Amino acid sequence: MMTTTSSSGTAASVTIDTGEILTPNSSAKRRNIFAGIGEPVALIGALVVLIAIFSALNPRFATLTNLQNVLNQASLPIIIGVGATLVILIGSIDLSVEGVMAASGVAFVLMSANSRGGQDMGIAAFIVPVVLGTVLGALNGLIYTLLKVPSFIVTLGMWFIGFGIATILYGTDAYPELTDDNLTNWAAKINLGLPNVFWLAAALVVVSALVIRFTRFGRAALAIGNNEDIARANGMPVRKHKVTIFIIAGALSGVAGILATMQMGGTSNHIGEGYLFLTLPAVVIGGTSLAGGKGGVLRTFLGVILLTVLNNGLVLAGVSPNYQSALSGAILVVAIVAAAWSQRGRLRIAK
Amino acid sequence: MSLGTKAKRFGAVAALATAAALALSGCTSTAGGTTAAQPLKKEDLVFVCSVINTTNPYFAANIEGCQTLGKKLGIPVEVVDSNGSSQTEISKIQAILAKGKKAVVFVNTVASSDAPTIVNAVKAAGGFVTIWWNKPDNLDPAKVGNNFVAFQKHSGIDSGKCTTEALSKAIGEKGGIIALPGVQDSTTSATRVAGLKEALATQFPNVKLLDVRPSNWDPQLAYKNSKDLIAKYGDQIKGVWTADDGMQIGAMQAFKEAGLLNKVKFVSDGLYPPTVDAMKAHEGNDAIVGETFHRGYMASAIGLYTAYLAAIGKIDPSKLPHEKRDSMFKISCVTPGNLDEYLKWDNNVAGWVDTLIEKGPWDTEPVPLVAGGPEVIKPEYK
Amino acid sequence: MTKETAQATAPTLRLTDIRKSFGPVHALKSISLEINRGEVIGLIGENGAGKSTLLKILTGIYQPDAGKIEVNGKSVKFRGPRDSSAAGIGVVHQEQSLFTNLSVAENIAISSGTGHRTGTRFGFYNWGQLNRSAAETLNIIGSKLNPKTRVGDLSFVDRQMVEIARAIRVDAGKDGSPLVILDEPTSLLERGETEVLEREIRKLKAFGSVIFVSHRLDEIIRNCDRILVMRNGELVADRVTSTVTEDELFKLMVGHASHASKKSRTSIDSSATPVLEVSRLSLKGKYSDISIAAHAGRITAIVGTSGSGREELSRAIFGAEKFDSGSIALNGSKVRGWRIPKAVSKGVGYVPSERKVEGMVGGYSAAENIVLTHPGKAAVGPIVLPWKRNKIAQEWFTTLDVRPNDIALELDRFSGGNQQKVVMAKWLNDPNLRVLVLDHPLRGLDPGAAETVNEQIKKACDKGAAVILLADTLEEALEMGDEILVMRDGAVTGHYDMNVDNPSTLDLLERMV
Repeated sequence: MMTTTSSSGTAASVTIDTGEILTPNSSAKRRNIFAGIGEPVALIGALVVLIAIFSALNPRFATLTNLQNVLNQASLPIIIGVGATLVILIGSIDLSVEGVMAASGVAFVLMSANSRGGQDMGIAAFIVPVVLGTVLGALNGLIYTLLKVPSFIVTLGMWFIGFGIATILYGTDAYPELTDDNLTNWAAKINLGLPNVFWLAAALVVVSALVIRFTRFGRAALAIGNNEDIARANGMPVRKHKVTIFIIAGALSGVAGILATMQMGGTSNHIGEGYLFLTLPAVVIGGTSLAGGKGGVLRTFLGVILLTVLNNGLVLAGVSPNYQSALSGAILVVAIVAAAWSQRGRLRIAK
Repeated sequence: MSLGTKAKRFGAVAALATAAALALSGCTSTAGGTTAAQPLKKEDLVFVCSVINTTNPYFAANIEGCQTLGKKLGIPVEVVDSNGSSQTEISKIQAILAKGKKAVVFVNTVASSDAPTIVNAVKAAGGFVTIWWNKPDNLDPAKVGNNFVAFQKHSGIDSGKCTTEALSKAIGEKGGIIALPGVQDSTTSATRVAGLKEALATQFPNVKLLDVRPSNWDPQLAYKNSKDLIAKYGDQIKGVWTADDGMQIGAMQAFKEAGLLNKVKFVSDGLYPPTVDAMKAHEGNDAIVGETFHRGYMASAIGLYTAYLAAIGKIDPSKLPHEKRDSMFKISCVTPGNLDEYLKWDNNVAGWVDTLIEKGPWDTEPVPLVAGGPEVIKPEYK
Repeated sequence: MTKETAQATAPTLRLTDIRKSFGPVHALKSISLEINRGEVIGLIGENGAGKSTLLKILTGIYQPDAGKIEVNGKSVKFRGPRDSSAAGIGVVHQEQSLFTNLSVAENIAISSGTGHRTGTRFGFYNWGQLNRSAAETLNIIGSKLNPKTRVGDLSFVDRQMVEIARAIRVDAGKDGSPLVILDEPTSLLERGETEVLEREIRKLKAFGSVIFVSHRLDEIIRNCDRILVMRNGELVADRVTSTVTEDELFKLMVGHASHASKKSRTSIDSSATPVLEVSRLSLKGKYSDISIAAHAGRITAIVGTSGSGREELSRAIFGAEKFDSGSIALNGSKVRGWRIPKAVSKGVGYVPSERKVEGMVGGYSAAENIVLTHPGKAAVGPIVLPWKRNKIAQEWFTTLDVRPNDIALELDRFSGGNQQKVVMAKWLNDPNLRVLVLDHPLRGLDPGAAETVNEQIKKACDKGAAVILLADTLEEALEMGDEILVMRDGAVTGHYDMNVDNPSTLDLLERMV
């Protein structure tokens, strides 16, 4: 029996070599093209359709002023979204955004020239809140990786801790306003046709996209999101990378807290409210998988723009506020289904 | 009071029926009259001051009022910070009630639906409570009994009318305005919007309400909505009406960024400290042209003092007329011209509280009792 | 390819007195061995014999309690996987260990150190260099894969090529010769794909050494120069291949001779209605016009390459996939609305090839898994009685010799072979089992476990079930099948009644490809 098998094996290998091995290869190539581009195309398509509809409904929609307006509104969710995307890429989640924003925002306003008096600490007013965000992010990462508590729980706790820090810092005095108009006007100020805050957000997106694409750290994040065990077996410093990513997310939330405070010209501990549940859907709509390992910041960028255009367009189209949330929800579901349509085949278990 | 709606009549009938049932089933306790017969001693009392959060200037003023009154009367004050959560609010109040002292409670409720739970808890513990701003329409102090001393508020319709008049006059009684209400299902916001619409319909036919975008009492949402509306209407917008000063901050920031602050007028409710500063500084060519005047410390002090009087037996709630159990207090209209007249109160909270103790809860300027509730919105202004 | 160095004479790998314990368990008791350049070593042993522990020590995942490791004559200590790969040891895992979301080139480079050659310097990727370097490595093993392709889009055998490329990349270009460990690489491959892999092994010999771990003794004998047998944490035999037979190896591994009974063929009672009758079943692009009549007590083995349509066909029989036309009949009556729940309620069972994904609930205990679909006597109405469940589970554990003998343990924590026994028990627990569809039931099982599973298949037949078997190997099909159906490109190309015909593997292969 042994001889039969080996001789037939050699004979068969020639035939199989061409038929069996090459076929999956070529089909793989074909699928690869669509897999890479399919979703962003669908997303950009959805965006184009929305823009076309809204432009038809109100000519003021497609104006430079409104473009500046939309990009200004989208900037903070984009900045938070960069951190959120990195965290989601490794298969975790960061719910502490609003708490960290509150803590950094209040710290920022109290250290700047403000209506409560106190000292203007200049550059330290920017550094300390970002450091605060970094520390809270590091705590997120360390508790998550060392104590093996799910990131969902750790960051939920850190949300409240951040909020608590903000409340303590805020005290019971009057609402503190920034007194320096240069600070309050900076974010929305137009430079080269677009608001400053958008340039900042765009720069962060570009840098982080490059980091994900071109650094070992970025690739490791994707690898960890795909399969943590394999990453560890390959000698990757999984814990270090995870903590680093939570630190980046915390720092970005800190930056967002400062910017939100500058935009409002002052702050309370409620400054971060609503940002998390604007950003997370945008990340998912962009096509970053909550399971980790798949997606990117450019997608999140598109997701945020899509959501912002949607809300802006509905206001400009004069849709009654009574219907706005239901309508935007319905449009979102359609957009997500359309974007995920190319994916549905992959839900089946591969052989 | 002239509103003889069906609902009201039904309410009155129901109240009568309940009162009759109570009288039949428990005549001894009613006759005994818990408060009249056994007034509580001052040393046994604790003031409870429950607010939605501690960072909003209005709620911060609530606390100031409670503490000032507590100091005057020599009664300790416990502050409840609900942190925006009904659960937190109720559980903290219950914890204080469980400590044993008789509680005299002022609650600025997080949501209307919290009121019955709180009222029942206070009643069971033998305390006395006044609710401010939010309660369900069917929760009537007269039906609950003496422990629910009163429900009190300022008229939202009056607030809306007052600010709308100021805004319309400032823009020459013609042109477009936008409105940013609070949370859509909030009674407070709805009554203010009703006042806005009524004033426009009856007095200022040439002022056009371009758009109404609920902004959930959130400065940032107000900022975003303002930006979108600026993109939509541009310089058609001559005036901005907001339901509170927090949203006004967001709206003003948006117009400032668009370079329109000097050309647009703003009105709102509350006269928060930042608003006062802006008015004093004539910001944006006197952009803020109208505010209502009512104060957090006045509300809480009136509320607590009413409940206190019932607790020590100075008043018998069951014998009070309807408008003193379900009350609306006066709201004043402030313009840049008369601002200073009103700021004097803020500089002397203790003095004002002395007046309150001297004149009683219903006759103290600038917030005397003006009417009884409930406040009814005419369907055409919904 | 051959680099003459001073170390060329030293063995590629020498282990001296390697020991490893986990608590009271001595996983490895003094292992010493040598592997020379250009040698292909077969490593065999039952599950739990210590193979995995040994491999994990070689790849730096575990550190030995005692003993010495020498690579190319130099004593080394592996603190982690990176040390091991830096020393020139690469591994192709049994469960594939590639990142499906990354490209071929990245997967090849991922465990490498930083440096210009690998395309990752100072933490930055140079994609051009990375792709070129991967292409070079792929070229060495004769693979024409595009380094930019996403691994998730590759077929199984192509992924294996990537694994091999990664394993040899660790030392390509350095002195000394790489040692590539192939940890059951063929267990998930189709026959044709195995041939490709075996060719790769022969290529690897030219510049490195190979440790080849497999449960298939025929493969071991075909490919290896020398065979090491492990049992109970010890090396019990070290034989040159030409001196041993499969039977001898089996005896060395298990400790006793094989007592697998030759299957007695069951003949068809032509008057009886087939338990399962598939008529002219078609699914566009997969298979067309397939008819099968499966009788009680008989095993119908379907053979074919991947892409022959046999997987889809077997899933259609279980109601897991739809079909376009044709019909399925059970005991002579046609079924309608054929979906899994209905199939299960009619007594059809299915053991999938992707055991972990489709066949079991890993987080449940073994006992819960056994009564999952057919609670039988364990349930009163919808309520499962734990004590009855445990009794039934314990009976199955004894019958099937499941190890460890702990019915409360989560199924995830059993080895593959024992998991498969539990999955089998789940269906065998159905007293009305009529049709049992088995998709690669022996995949990844050691010979002992495979024997037990085969015994159970025969028992199911004895109880009157018709079995549809998608075998791993042609030999398995020939041994087990009462009837053999050969499929190619979605059509039946051969049909043998084993009572009458006596086809050889070559006969089957001719009709397969």
